[in-house]
Amino acid sequence: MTKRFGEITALDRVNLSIEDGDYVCVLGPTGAGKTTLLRIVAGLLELDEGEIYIDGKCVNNLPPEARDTVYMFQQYALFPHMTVWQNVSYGPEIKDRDREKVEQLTAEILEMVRLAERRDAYPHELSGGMQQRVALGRGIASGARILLLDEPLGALDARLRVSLRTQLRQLVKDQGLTAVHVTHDQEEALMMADRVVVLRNGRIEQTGTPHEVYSRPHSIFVASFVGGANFVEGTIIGSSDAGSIMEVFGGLQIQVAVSDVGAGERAVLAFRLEDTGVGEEEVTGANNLPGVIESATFIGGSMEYEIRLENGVSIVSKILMSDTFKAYTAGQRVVASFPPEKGHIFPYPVMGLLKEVEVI
Amino acid sequence: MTQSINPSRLVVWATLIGLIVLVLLPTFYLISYVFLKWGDVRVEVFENPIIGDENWRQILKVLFFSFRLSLSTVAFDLVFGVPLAYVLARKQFPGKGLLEDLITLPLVIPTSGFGFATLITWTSVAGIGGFLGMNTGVIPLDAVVPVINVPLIVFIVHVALTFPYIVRTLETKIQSIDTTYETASRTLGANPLTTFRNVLLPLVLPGIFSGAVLAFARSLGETGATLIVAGVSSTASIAIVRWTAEFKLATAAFMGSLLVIIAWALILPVEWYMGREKRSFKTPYRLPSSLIKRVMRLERYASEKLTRIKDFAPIFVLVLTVIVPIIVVANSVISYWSADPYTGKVQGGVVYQLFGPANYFNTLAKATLTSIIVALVSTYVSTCIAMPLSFIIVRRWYGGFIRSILKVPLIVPTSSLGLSVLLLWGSSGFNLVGSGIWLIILTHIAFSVPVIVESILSSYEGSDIQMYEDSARTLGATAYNAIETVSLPLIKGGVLTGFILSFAHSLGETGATYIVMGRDITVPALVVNMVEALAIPAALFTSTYLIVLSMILLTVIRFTTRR
Amino acid sequence: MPEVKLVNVTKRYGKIVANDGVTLTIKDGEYVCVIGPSGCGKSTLIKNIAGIITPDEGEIYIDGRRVNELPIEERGIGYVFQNIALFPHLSVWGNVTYGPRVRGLSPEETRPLAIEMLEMIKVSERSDAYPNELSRGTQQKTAVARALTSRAELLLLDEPLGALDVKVRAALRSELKRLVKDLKLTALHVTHDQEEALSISDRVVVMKMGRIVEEGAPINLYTRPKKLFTANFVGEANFLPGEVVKASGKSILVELEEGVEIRAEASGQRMGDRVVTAFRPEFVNVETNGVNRLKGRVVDVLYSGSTVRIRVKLGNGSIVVAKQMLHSEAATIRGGDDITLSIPPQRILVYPYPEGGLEKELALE
Repeated sequence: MTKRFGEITALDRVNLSIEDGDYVCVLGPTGAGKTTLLRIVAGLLELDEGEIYIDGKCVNNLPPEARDTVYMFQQYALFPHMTVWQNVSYGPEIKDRDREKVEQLTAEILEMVRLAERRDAYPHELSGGMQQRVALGRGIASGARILLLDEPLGALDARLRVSLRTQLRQLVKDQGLTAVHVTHDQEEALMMADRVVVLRNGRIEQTGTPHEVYSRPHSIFVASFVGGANFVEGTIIGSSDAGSIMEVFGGLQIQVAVSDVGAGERAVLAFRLEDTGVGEEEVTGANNLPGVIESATFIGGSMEYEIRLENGVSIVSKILMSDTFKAYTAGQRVVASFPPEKGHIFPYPVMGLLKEVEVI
Repeated sequence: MTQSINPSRLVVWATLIGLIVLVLLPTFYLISYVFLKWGDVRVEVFENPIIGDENWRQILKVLFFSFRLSLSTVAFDLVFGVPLAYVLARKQFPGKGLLEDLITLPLVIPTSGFGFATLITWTSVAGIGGFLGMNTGVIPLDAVVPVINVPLIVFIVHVALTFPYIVRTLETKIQSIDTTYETASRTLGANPLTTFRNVLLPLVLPGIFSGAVLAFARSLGETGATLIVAGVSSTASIAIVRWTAEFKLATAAFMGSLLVIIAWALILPVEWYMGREKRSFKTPYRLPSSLIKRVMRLERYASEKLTRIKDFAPIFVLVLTVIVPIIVVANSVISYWSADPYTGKVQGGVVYQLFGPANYFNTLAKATLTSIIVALVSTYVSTCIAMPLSFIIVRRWYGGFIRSILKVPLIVPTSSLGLSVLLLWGSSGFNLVGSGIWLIILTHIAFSVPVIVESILSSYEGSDIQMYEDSARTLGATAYNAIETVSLPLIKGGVLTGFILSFAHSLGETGATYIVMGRDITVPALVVNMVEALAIPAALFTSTYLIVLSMILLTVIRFTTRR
Repeated sequence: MPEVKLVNVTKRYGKIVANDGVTLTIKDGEYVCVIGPSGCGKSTLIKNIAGIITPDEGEIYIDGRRVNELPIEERGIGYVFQNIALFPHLSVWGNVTYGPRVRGLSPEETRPLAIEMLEMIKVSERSDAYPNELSRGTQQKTAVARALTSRAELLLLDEPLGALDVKVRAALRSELKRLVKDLKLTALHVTHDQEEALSISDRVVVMKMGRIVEEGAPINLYTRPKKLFTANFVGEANFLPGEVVKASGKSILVELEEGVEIRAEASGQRMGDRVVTAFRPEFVNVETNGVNRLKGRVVDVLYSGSTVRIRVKLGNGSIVVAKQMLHSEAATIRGGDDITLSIPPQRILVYPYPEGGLEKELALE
């Protein structure tokens, strides 16, 4: 698929396959082209080049109502002049189904989203979470087998978002539908998706299961965007079957898994915040990085430590709260560590490291 | 989105044809008439065997007069209109609805009736003069505005009639700007007036331009009221009426064409400028730094002490120019009811004139019927064209162009529009329709369609209808279905408002009607006749009757839009 | 001397009481976050302090001075908006110098202030750009700089990160904290994101329906929330209602259902009290020989990067969520498995059963 808006290429030769019944999350920063992609699949936007096939059939020339898809807007787009009942029954009614069947279906759906007693309410009388459920119900009632969700949880409070994630996925799975869910929240994607597609500037950076994308990122961007990581520059000084050794600023040597980067070349090492342990002593078998705690920030279920290593580089460690949790304070000398197999090596990017990981 | 079903294609074509034949052709016909009959025009205007190029001189004289009048009107409007627009857009207060109605009133008020009411109020003993114990009017008929040299009474009428254009356009524009910018400015330490100059003004400049241009064009094209109050002087638009009556058709057509071209020349750059607004926001002006400190001190003072004045001065102007004449004329009907209060003569009373030998009552009844038929039919047809047209404008690539062109019939002088229609369909042109009720209806359609379209479009733009339509499409509705079940219900308000606005406007329209009416007469045109026949009490009665009618309609609009 | 003091502030909109007798003190130099679900009144509160709206009742003091009648421009505050509100017709430089300019400073006096601020937020090379040319994150940084260039010492932030991507939010968060601390400002920050509040503030105030529910240091609100709502709103929690069947000295025994009892630390409960026990998913242990064993069946297992969330249905139908690191034994658990959970007694919080019902008390909207 290719789509241009004037000089900007919103989608650049994107190839994507989605299986029946999959819950796919398209993940990427604002402006990556996720909404454009979704709108094109829905038929609300035309492709400049490329084809879309639904169930083996090319749908390029089919209008939105003829595709087997339904689009859910971030702001829900509930018809303001219709009640909850009328909104949900809109799809079936338009398709001219049998009156009784429509009523039965609508009642079922309202039960499913737990809004049966609000059937006569108007959208503006409902809370955000309720509106989202009506929108979902309406989409499911339309009978479309593919749900296109544009940041479905984006308009909700953070706390509400978290609790609705499982409910949304459950609903989709129970109905046996296929979902394409667009979001910029990587935690959401990792938690809800069967497969994750990472999109950046109109191109797919990586696709795979959440686990794959998280533990085997193909690029610095993916490592940074999905899950976040510590990045350290250095040079590969040796490789063997067991792994490679990288030397970073200050002469510190790190052991990592086998990588493609050859000896003598500049590379970037990435290791996850959650894979970075903090302790008072070295850990056998791991890469040990002695340093001093610069700051300790408590973030709800976990503690983030900023640690300044002996060579001047700063890294972050994220420790999940648990029963055996031990707190460290600023100024304390500690040893950060991570297992060699959790260190990912990437070739040093042409445009510089900052460009790849920059967020603002 | 790419599929066209037969019914919708048919509708699109029918609408476009209706647009061209009923709205655009009449508007621009004058110009083509002048081209086609250039020989005749040239002779009559420039190389007249009897008077040489006197007609051309007349045209120029009249144009310059009109320009002086209209420019000064707009300047005055801006001074008082900008603060009022700001107050209306940003503040809430009891009676705000009433104030908004008051401002809308001049848009629907019958111009001839209003002109007459203003005339009586200021220049006659029956008005304020008598109230104050004088035995003439407060302002002599030939009083002139200093420096600009236009008759005061004409100036007052023009201010009253153009004021709403500036206030409403600017008010809408200000409302479209997020208040957070102004709040941000205040939190940074700027008082409200400095905030207005630094933040709001640059962002609403297009609205001020647009409003000023509309007001200017409205003043340029104002015919009905001017016919009554102008006395011996002549604006461009009433010159057209006079020349048509004198059968100097070529001259009138030439004048009319000039006015259409001027109208278009004004609209085009403004539309282009307004279309640019989203892309370039840079501040167009900058005060020299030496002045700034002094200016800000002044603003601080003004913000604290002068807010009351800023709030009340425009209202005062409004009251004087709009409310007072209405009260006076209504009051006069009562005092003139049975006899002239000054001479005691029964013949000078309203009742006598209505039911006596002149039997104006009969004429009035017939005229009312005509007016209502015209208004109903023309508004209905216009709505049928305007509704699909609005959707075409929103969804097709050439929509923006249509929208700009539609502004022209709105600002072209009504007399010029009337003449154009007369020449197009009447005996000099296609000879399909003679003067009379059908021609009036055709004329009214030409300026009603734009009014209804604008009303629908503003209600469309104020909402997310596009999103709802898209939603409906993905739920399985065809484009046609989506419009029917989702978009139409949501623009209902806009259609209704447009309908009533158009109906009221049609009832009170004078200038164009006067030219094409032939034997059939509408009520506003009747007022003109009465004034010329010096049947003052009858004119009083008819004016009041018309004004009350438009006020009732306005209340109906308010009631329906509230819901 | 306290920087900001609110005494009994009440604001009504028709029948809705947005702020209901709110009393709050923010000390000089403190970074306070006010959190709560939509409609709890936090935005109204901050607008009251700024002067954008005026309270119907109550007093507001800034630095000891009563400001109820003072117009916005005279309160000496910096304000950051959710929708950024950079003046679209002015460049970055024009925006940042706006404050000093309208306060009467000359261009010579303004220059160094603006340059310093732009340096601090690292936007110096883009000072000629216009807002619509910048990314949203950079726009908001500029807006913060604009608010601070006028030397205000009180910074008010109304959902400042709400319009930004999740990743951008996290990055901007730390920059914001650094800026406020470096400049030694007092900050009041309103948000619905509790993670944001916990990481950035010295003290967190939780609001619900116009009232303050609880306030305290982030870690205290997390480990020892005093109210049920706080336990649910700040971080996640499992809630299991029950009855106290034994209360002796340091610990109590709560019966959740027939035959299932758990032990918790005592805090004033008596025999027969109806209570709700709460414990965080992070503290639930899986298949160990711990105390407080709960048996159930796994409903599903959800992964989220490096953590695993296991949802377990207990015998009586309640759902308990356990959260573990991926590399623990939890990784091998599958849906449908039988499972035993255990929770350390000191991690169990006990609350009286709410009068209005549990669901209503916990409602997030």
